[in-house]
This record gives sequence, C-alpha cells and structure tokens, in this order.
Amino acid sequence: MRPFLLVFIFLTISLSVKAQDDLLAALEAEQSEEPGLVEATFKGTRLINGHSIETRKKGVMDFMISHRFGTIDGGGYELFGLDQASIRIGLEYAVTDRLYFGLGRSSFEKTFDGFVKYRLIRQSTGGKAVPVSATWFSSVALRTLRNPDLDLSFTDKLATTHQLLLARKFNNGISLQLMPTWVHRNLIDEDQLNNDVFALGAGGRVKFSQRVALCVEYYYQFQQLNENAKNAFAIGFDIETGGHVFQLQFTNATSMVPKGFITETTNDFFDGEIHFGFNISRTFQVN
Amino acid sequence: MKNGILTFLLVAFAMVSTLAQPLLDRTGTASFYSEAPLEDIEAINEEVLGAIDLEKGTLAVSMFIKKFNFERSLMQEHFNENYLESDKYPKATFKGVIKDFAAINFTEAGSFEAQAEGEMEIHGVVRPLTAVVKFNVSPETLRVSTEFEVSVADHEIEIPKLVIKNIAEVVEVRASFNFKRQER
Repeated sequence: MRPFLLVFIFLTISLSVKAQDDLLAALEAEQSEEPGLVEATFKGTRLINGHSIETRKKGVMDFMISHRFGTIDGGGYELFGLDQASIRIGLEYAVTDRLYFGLGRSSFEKTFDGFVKYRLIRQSTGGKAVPVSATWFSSVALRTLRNPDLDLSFTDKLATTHQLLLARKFNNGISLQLMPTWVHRNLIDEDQLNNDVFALGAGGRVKFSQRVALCVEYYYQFQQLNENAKNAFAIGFDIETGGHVFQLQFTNATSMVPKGFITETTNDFFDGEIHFGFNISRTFQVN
Repeated sequence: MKNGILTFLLVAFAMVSTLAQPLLDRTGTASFYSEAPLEDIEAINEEVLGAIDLEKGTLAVSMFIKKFNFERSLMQEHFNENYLESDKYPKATFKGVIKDFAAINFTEAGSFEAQAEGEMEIHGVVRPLTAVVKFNVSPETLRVSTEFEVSVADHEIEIPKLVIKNIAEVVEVRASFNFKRQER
C-alpha cells in the first residue's frame, strides 16, 4: 500500500504543478482543432474570363458588370479599343455556401446566359485534410441576335458548357486552378466543324499584397469550332476594396460567356489583338 | 487506524488537486466593435476558451480568429485573409494575473471588480494589457467579464487608406466567461 500512496502523492503534486506552470499552455491543450476550411483561394468568382472555384457565401448577392473594349491594336484613332465596348450585366446569388447561380446578358450577339455552380469538395487542413477544392460549373447561353435568313428554334440557339474546376491554394499568395471543359452546341453553322469542343483550362494567381493579385488564364482546345479559332489567353489584376472586386484584364477573347471565350476566340493575343477589359463585382448581404 | 489515515490522506490530496485544478470555460464569448464614419462593424466569437486559477490568481484566454462571426460573410473573409491573416496567426491569446489577488475572497457570493494585468497576443504581436475585470461570484458559478480597447496599429494590423473611414483605429473588445465551480 505504501508505494501506491507515494506514487499517488507524486502524481497529484506533479499534475497540479504542471497545471499551474503555464495556465495558457494547459488551456491550449484543451482547445479543439483549428477550423480547417481553406478560404479565399481566389478573390472573385471569376478567375479572369472564366469562373474560379469560388462561390459567395449563403445569402450574398453579387452584382457584376463586365466590359471588353475593342482591340488595342486599333491605335490612337480608336483610343486603343476604348471606342467600342461590349458589356455583360450579371446578377448572382448564393443559395447556400456551396450552391451558387447567376443570370447575365451580354451585348455581344445579344446573349442571355445562366449558370449553376456547386462546390463539391473544399480544400481543408487539419485532421480531415483535403488537398484541393472542386467545383462543378454548368452554363447555358442563348444567342438572340436576329438572323433573318435562318429560321431557328429555341433549342437551336442554345449552347451549354460544363466544367470541373479544380484548385489548390498552395499558400497565402499562390493559387492554381485546372478547368477540364466541355462545350456543346445544339446547332452549328455550315463553316463550323464540331458540335462538341473539349478544352483544358489552366490558371492561377499570385498576390502582390493583401489586396492586389496578378492572374493568368489559358484555355487549350482539343477540337476547334472554326479553322481560325484561337486559344483564349488572359492576364489581369484583381484589386479588392471592401465589398468590391475590380478585375482589370488583357485578353484576346471578346465574349464573356464560357462557350464564347473558350471556343469563339479568333484574335491572336501575341499579334496585338488584345482587348482591355474589366469585371466589377459588388456584393450585398441579402439575408 | 492505518487505513483511516490513508483514507484521510487520499481525500485530502484529492481535494487539494481539485482546488488546484483551474476552472475552465469552453464557450466563453469575445466580441469587438469598430465604429468608423462610414460603417460600424461587429463580430462575435462564441467558442472562446478561458481559464482561471483560483489558487494562483492567474488567467488565460485563447481563441481561434476564424471563429469570429460577422453579419456580412465577405467582411469575415477579408478579416481573416487581409487583416488578421488567420492562416499565419490562427489564435488570439491572453495570459495574466489578477492584481491584489490575495485580498480577494472568491468564496463569498457577490460582485466586485479587480484589475487584470498581462500580455495579449493578436496577429502574432504581443502587447501588455491592463483591464478592469468584473467578477460575479455565486456558489455554483463564477462569472467574469471585461471590456477594453485595442489599437489596431499596436498589433501591426494594416488598414489601407482606401478603407480608413470604414474601420476604426481603436476597437472596443468585450469578453465574458461563465465558470462552473462544481464541474471539476
């Protein structure tokens, strides 16, 4: 019995001494695991032209205005493209932290578009670490530009785009994204080659400061819609100020809907056929 | 007889160790309030860990920055990403002592105030902090609450000029804990 008692006394004293030694250290030993979801892989819901894995949080509405000006090789006479502008106005809403949808209207070919995004997997750290985020993206675009020569049905004017967006935030400054893409058209013109175009996009961002980041985005097409189709390239800056995100970019794409910029781009970026453009996003917490 | 002494000793040690065991609250709250010309911002963390050691008069508080909830989710993202950099500095902590602890009787029911003195770490920067702490003692619980001000610049949290009218340079912080005395 004696040795047991001695051990007991020793344990009691040593435990209580330890507890008092550093109360904060003892307290932190009790702390639950750090919340692990990786937030803000990208600043906005768009990488540049295309979507990022990001969605807004539940109950947030995002009003988005995007412009693409004419090509800068028009020179001073065209004020480097600023004389022409194509615009898209969009309204987006987050139903849950994972489900996000949006509607938009582009002046380019008078296109209406709608999209749904769902966050399948979210990158996280800690006990149940997940290395990447994955978001499903589906978009429908309806071209309403009148064509008196053709009698087209509603479904003839539709094109759909599906993407699996995969991204990883490597650290606070660097995030990369891959975008396997499938664009489908119900009807194509005589001079067009493929109803279906598969593409692989890649992009990323590097933060210069807490509020400014450099982004690049490139879509490689495995099939072409036209013989003169080019791969869309874009480089831009994200500037964040409170509830706004400004994205300024240079790109060879004219369209601002996925089926458009991925497959209908005909300008050559490296030949100076570059559009200056911007996206402005303003968020409102609706509920 | 021998058994009697042994039992007495065991009970005595058990009591000593219970007394020495600090009181713990896992669901303490901490909130802050920023009042600026353009907007007022408020956030609350309801999973703050607090401990008080009534043997030594020491206090400790630890919380995850990511557990602060804002009314606007984008603000919460910016708070973590741009201001507090919670990936790099996940916690805010305080450790300190109650001044004139020996003169305070924690067994008598009632309310009183005392000064707490210690070090607070926010955004990886440790600063001394002295605050008035209110105690509310009852046989079952010990309620502890405090209010103090924190200068954002003191903790090297950068506010860009563009949003200087949206974020206060000094924010009001409140914290409260409810320690159950019978629990352990």
